[in-house]
Amino acid sequence: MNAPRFNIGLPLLAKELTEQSARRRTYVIRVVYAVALYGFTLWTFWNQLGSWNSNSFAILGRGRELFEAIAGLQFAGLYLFLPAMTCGVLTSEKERDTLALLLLTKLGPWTIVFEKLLGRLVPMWSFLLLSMPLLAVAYSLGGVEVVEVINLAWALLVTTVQVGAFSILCSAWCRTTSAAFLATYLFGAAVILGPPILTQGGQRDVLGLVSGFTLYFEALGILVNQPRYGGGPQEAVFLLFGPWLAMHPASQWQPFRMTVVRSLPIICFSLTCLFAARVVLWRRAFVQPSNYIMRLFKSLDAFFMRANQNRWTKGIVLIHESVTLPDYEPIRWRETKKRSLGTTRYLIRMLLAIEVPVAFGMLLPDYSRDDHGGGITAIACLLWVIAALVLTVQSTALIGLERSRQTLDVLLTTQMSSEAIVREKFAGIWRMIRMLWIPFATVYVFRAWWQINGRSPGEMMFGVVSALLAVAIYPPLIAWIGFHQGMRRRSQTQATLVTLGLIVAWCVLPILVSELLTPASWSPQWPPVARRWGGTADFIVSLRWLSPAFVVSFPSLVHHSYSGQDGALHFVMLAGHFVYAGGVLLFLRGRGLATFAKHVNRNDGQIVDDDDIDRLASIRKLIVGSGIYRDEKPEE
Amino acid sequence: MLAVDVHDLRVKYGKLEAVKGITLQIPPGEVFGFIGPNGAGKSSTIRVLATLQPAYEGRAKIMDLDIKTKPHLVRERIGYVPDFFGVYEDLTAREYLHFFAAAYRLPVSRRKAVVDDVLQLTDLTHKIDSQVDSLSRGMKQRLSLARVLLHDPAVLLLDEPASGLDPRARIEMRELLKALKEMGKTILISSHILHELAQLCTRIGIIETGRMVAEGSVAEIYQRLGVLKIVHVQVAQQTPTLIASLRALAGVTQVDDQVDRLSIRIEEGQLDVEDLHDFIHAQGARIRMFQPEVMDMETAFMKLTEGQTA
Repeated sequence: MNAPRFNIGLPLLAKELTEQSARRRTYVIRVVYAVALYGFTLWTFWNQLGSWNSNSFAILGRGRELFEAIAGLQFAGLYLFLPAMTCGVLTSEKERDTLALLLLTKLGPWTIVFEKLLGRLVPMWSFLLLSMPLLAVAYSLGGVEVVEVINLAWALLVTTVQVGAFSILCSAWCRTTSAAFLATYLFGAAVILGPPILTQGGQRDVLGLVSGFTLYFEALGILVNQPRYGGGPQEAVFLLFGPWLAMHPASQWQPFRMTVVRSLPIICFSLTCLFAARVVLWRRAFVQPSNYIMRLFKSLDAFFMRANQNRWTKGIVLIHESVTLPDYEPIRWRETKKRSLGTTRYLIRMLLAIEVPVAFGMLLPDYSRDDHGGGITAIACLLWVIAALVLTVQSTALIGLERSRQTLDVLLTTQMSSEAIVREKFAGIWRMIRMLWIPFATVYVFRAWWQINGRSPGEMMFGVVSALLAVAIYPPLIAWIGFHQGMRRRSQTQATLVTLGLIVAWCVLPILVSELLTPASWSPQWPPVARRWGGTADFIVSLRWLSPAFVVSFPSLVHHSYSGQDGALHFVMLAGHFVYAGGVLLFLRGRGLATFAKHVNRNDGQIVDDDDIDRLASIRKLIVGSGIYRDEKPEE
Repeated sequence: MLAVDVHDLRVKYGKLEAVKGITLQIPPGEVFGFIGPNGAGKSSTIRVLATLQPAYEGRAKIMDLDIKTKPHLVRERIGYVPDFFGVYEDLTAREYLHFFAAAYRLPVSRRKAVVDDVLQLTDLTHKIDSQVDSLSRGMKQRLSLARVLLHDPAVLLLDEPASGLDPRARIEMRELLKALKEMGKTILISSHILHELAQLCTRIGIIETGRMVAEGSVAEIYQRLGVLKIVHVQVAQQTPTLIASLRALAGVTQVDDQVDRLSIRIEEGQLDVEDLHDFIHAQGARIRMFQPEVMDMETAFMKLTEGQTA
């Protein structure tokens, strides 16, 4: 009898890597990542050359700036991409009903978790390896010790495992990829931001939690720009923050064994996540999909029912929603009468759920007046995030849900025109947008009220105009972006993620590019195109006006004088921003109406001969003449 | 005027040619069965006729209206039931039908009567206020049929309407389609339930790898496939001479000497079954069993197709 052979096989890892290698996007992402990494490093290097161009030897010994720039970019890429890459590894199996098949094989839960994790870590490590030649350049310039490179490599390694393990835990817990995506980023941010916030919150009152953010950003400041900050925050609250291991000033030239010891909390955290993922893998393998919005609404329903049963209101019903049948716009009827988020009753409840905390926040005077309206800006930002999330989910569902419920084809074979279908589909979205206007109005009216004595009429005017235009343009713009994605993508989850990604990119990229490109000192080494812009960096600085996030927060960011040249310039930039945002909105709306039929594979044809025109005219005449229809509009 | 007129229809999905030049003519009032294995091109053809496949080559007309140029007029004349339910599960049956009555631009004054009529026809009147979600699969499929009858279309395009239904629901569906046939509707129906199509259809077309491999009435298809027929024979005194004489008989293509019987393949046009019986008897053999093989639609289908997809 032959002795049993010890056979090491990693079938799941092999399958994952084979699948990834067969996808074009694997190579696209890798190339984009490499271009971004090398482009940014070259830019930093160029800046250094520009600053010391009088003496080329002055660059020697200055490899530290380059080293820190590369390390910062690698950590940023890791935190940005790895959760998105990993959070779907188990949820996608659940969505395809293949996890059960996997669990029935001889692969144990540990094997599944480890091989799935490795399947995502290997590509991420390949991204990190891309920076090796750049680190070699930084090292050759001098100013960086070998031990620092080793410490950085270790810090990156343990951080990838930490982020990957946490993402896989969320993937094992959640039912859908979109839920896992949100959970990974939200709870991941809580893991990093939570300790400093809680530490500070414990020391002060509840509103002092905000200072936790300050501590966090102070820490980032230390990492990015050491000389400006003399001291540092308590290190204990950054035990789980990978960059702290390699880039903190105190970490310079620390022995490798010390770095390993300091990374133990991260390693323990990773192991805990993996163990938890292994435990919940079986327990939540067959969990049924849950509509979180419906559950939230049911909870709100129950809450309001209880709240309504008291000695004063006695269960009074203010709005009776009568059961009606559709008249002439069936899709509008369904969107506004039958879908949960479209009905008046639910919209009012949702409004109350948003409006009450917003109004409460506005009435906290210390908070609202803090930092020239910084508190109000925080609430406004939160409101924008909620609005973007709700509108994205709703707008991507317009076509996505019809597709997943297999009702799109039967709708398309009716006699409704494609344009009418899209317009009526948007009826529920418009209701939602109008509801969202109320909390926005609360925030911005309160802001104007708080600032009435502290700011000039110009500032007031700037704030009011920017708020009005933002509230009028951005929500429908978000909805149209979501609609386009819902129309193009196969699943609503995919459409939602892409839409949110686009919105975040639109908000962040202009600011990021502007920040990265703004030179500390202007130099003749800058490209001629930039120099032509008056020899200043105004053009690059003005790029941030492309970002809606910057426009929304601008009135509160800086205590400006809105008079004179600066004030006029800001009004011009604001007007320019909304002209282009409005243009994008009109373009997306026009394209949405025009290309709907093409994207849903509907043959819209053309009226090609006079017979058709006469026939349609006679039908219209007959219908209008009968008094049943009034030129396709409902009777009053 | 033809109800459905398709000539040299070609549908491509990227490099894959799903339909390779199908030609099909269905006169008004006919029930045409579309048979073929999965991926043969049935659904693609029906989607072209339902105005849901803008990219195609060839000619496709419904009631003399070109689908490519006049889809809006075609949609007035067709009722399309896809191979899935396509029902809004958050509505009641009444709301669902009123929703589509409005979408089909039915005047408000007529809607209630029309909805009542189609519910009665599909035997769903008692379920009018039930949530669609609570209906059985058979009921949902009948509700889908009720939906396409709202605007009284001349042509019904039914893509595997009986798939996934239990035997009772299939029989109910078949009876419903018979009623529609009696009402004079032109029906194009695709299905895998072949013997049910045989009972219902006036003509059938068998499609494989995007091509129509046979078309005609059920009897014509049988006749065409009857080229080779098998007769199972058991005789008391089976001798090698008998087998040799059978093999030499004109019209017999093959004689298999099996354990308990002889399986004789004959070409029906050249040798009748009765003549074969007389020949064996004339050879002095005492016949215990004489059983011509009954070919059903499944056998016909299997003979005509090789199970390939486009």
